[in-house]
Amino acid sequence: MTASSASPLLLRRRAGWLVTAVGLAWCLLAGRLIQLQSWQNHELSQRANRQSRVAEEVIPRPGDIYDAQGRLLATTIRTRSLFVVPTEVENRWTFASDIASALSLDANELYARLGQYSEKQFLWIKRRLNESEEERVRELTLPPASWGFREEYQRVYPQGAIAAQVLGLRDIDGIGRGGIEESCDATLRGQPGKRWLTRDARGRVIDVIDDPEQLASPGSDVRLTIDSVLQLYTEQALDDLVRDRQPEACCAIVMHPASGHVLAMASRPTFDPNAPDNVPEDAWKNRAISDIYEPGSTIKPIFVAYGLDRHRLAIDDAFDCEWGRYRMGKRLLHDHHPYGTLNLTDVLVKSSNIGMAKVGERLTNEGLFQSATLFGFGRVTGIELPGEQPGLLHPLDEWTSYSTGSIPMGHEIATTPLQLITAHAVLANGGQHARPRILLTDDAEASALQSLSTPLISREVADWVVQEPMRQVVTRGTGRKAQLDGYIVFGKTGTAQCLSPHGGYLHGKYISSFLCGAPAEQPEILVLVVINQASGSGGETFGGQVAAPVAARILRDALVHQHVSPTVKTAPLATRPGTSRLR
Amino acid sequence: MFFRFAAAMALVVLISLCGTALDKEAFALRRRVSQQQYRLEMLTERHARMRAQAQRLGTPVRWLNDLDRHRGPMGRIAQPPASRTARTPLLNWTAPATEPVTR
Repeated sequence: MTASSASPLLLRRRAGWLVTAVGLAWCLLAGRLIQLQSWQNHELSQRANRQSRVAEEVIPRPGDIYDAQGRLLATTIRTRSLFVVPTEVENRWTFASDIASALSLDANELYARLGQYSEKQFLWIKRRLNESEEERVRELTLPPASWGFREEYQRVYPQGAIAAQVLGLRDIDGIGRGGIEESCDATLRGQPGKRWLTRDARGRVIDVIDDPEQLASPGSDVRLTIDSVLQLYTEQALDDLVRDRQPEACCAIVMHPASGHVLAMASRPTFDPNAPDNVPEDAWKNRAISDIYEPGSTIKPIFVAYGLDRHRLAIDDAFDCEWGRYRMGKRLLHDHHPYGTLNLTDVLVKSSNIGMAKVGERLTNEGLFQSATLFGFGRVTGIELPGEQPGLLHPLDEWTSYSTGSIPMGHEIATTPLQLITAHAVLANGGQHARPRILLTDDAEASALQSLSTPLISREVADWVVQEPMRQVVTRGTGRKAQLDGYIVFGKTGTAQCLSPHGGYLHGKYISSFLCGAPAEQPEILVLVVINQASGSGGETFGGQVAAPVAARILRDALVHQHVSPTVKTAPLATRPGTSRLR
Repeated sequence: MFFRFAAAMALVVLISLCGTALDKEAFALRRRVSQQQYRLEMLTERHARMRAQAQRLGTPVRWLNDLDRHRGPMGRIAQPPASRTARTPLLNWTAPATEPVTR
């Protein structure tokens, strides 16, 4: 009876204890949950994220570079690079010798590197493997934790070594170096993005989430004014020149004078951008924009045109060339051939230094300085390429009486080849200046800008200089080797002594140049070839002998390629009706 | 009482199963998106490689010299002959009239 009466009480008490204990446990658990969810939520979430989520930068694919016809000049492919985790490498020598044999590396050197960085978590072994190297590494079946591939972008240049200095390079870290790759790096490179990798407890990636706020955007494409075919013609002409005359360096520019578009630009020595490890030190330089030299006689038409435009000269002016000896102050000037009286055309056709010194006396130092600055000497042209030099034009107050004779014959002034061809493009374009361009942009915008610009000199003066003296330079003057069947070519030769880096001139070393264009009535193509220290057969150094044939060859190929119809008219041009005002 | 409890449990389990199924579906979709992205990247890469190869094969460096070898004088390029008689040179076997024709 006692047991049966006590039992329910005991049971109830025990049940009460149990309920209390369970209730307390639930309360504790709920309290802990509330604590974790409310007070420690942020901190714990961050810790969990730190342990499982890793941010990774997404490198964007760089944009491509095209020529004016849409040919691909530079593009990007993805390659794999091998890295190891030195702390995970157990048998260092076996590991090093295995990898070295697969990748044709020096095992001893690799072993030494692994030892040097044994405490590190990451070490590049070889970057940008080709497919067979990648396969050989996989076949080694190395411990998975000790190595890995990382994908990288590699720049390739499908057209080969053409326009190497214009294009430049994209280095192993994807940064543009030189040429368009450098100047348009911001456009080509694109915007890097970010993504989050979620890893499990063993470090394996189980989820990849792109950060919506930082999505990678690929680089934009860039289109150049360069025409690959013309570029190739130009490069082949320079290659033949190098083979025949072994110059120290040379360069050529082909330009469309009306738009300022550079159709081809080449320098020698050069390099293959697909083999960036084997680039000779002096091959990087784009000599068309970064070499400065005294232009010599090629600059003479510029001063004559300025003098005519400012009415300091007239086309029927005659100049006594003193039979080759003219004392100008303390200085005795010589001509290569002695001449008596020459008219203005013949001063340019015969390239008389004494005649040009007398032109300089007419213009005075102020006029010569204004002329040089007007045509852009002494400042960069603004072409979209890095490393352009402004040339050398001394301030007017540093000019002396020597300058009056020197400047008109192309001394005491230094230009880049691009500056010189840009100045001549003004003459070929009826006096209108067109900024040289190598990036092909919206033509409507460019032509609108150009139509707003004021002509530097009058059209009739520009046309006369191109169609009379410069054309006669080719028909009966120093540039006869530039004559082309079917086309009326104009041009100007130039031969100048090389400047010494220590001041003064280098004896017996010359820069030969030739500028030419066609058709003379409406020039479509301008070509400039500059050769530094030509040698070889005959030892000729005159621009008309050395540079003119090369320039003419490039000009002929360019005219044919651009479908410029040959001009059947070969008789001397009649003076235009308006030209008489110049007299 | 038991049925109410069982019904509540069943509801909870059902909701859990639905949630799990939805989660699974979401993961499957994300995996498919990820696979599509991977395929897109692979195709982009293949496209880039094939285009580079095509450009390499069609580069003017390879064909320009051959083309130039067949190029005539410049005058003829811009001014093709106005009238071209469609004659096959191989069939133009007419012997000169000054010579006797012997059979």
